[in-house]
Amino acid sequence: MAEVPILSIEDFLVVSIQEDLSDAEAEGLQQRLLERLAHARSRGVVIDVSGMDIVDSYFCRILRDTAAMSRLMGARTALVGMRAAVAVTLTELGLEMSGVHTDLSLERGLEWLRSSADA
Amino acid sequence: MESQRSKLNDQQVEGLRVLVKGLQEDQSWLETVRATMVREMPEELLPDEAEWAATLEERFAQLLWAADNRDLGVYLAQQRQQTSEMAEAGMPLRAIARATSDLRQPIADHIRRVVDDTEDQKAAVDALDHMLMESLVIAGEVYAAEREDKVEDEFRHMIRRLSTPVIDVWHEIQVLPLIGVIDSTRAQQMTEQLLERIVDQQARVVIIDITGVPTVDTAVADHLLKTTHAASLVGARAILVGISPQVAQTLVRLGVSLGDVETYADLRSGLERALASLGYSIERKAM
Repeated sequence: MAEVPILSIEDFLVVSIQEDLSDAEAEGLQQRLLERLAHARSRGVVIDVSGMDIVDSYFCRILRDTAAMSRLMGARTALVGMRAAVAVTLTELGLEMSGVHTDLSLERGLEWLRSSADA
Repeated sequence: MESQRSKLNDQQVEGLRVLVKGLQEDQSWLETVRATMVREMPEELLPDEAEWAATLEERFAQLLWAADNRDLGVYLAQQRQQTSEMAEAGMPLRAIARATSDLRQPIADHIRRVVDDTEDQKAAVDALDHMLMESLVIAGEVYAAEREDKVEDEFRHMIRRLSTPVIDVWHEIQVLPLIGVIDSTRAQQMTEQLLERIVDQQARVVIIDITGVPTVDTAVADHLLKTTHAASLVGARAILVGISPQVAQTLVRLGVSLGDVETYADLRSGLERALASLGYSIERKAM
């Protein structure tokens, strides 16, 4: 499977995940994203999971960690497009996404990033 | 290595016994030797009467033991210890070497006077020469090691000072680029330097750049937090920059919190933020 692409829109990095990722792929994505941040000096990252049917606890942890790591490197993270079914499952399992801003869509995520970037 | 050097052959053993006997029975050589010591050694290192007598007795005992056991090891170990102490007390190698070689003549003369047999005389003087040679070698070794330590210390100190220069990019913004390992000594030194500069320039923001710090673990994070806290006590806000992907991953995985210190991947971002927070903007004039 090809690597998940990391695009740049305005000042931000956008990661659009189109299908369920294996643990190794998720870890690889984290690594690549952080390296992009090192070069691009972005103030924000949008991770779009609208293509994911299943989000397990390990993936949640990778997401939370990635958001924290990106924050250390000066970028805020918006997690967007979570499917309703996934949201329900995560809630039932008691999986937290604390420290990660979540939003409905890519547009909303970018809006939030723009407004918080000036803060 | 030392154990081989310190072994004595038959002739040396005999010579040693004659030497000790000659020095013990008639102590008229003492005055001359004492005069040599006084000439070469700094006053504070000179033994007093009681110490002198005790040391002498001890030395004779060690030499007789050496003869009995055909091994000069114990005596030489003592010699090394004493030389180290003198080196630490600041006595120059030159003085020790000279004092050692100046001992030869008066003692050799004395031996020739009190020992009748020429064969015995020769053996005793040979034993004396052997001991003095070993003492000189030891002195050389001790001082070489000590010098190396000193150079290393000086070097480390110099590196510390060179690698914590605080850069005055704007009077309200001070930048501290860190390079190398941060231990507690260095952390303290850099904090002092940073605070002095903050007060000096009345800085409002300090940017600490850790790009050059190879490992950032809980200990290093702790030092950094202490530094940022100290800076805040004198009214400056701290921004930490130079967080690499590796460092970001390590910190999150270790569960280290950097509190509410702003962090950025690179200096430029930190600088932009610092300027913005102080109300500055950069405008390009039409050329």
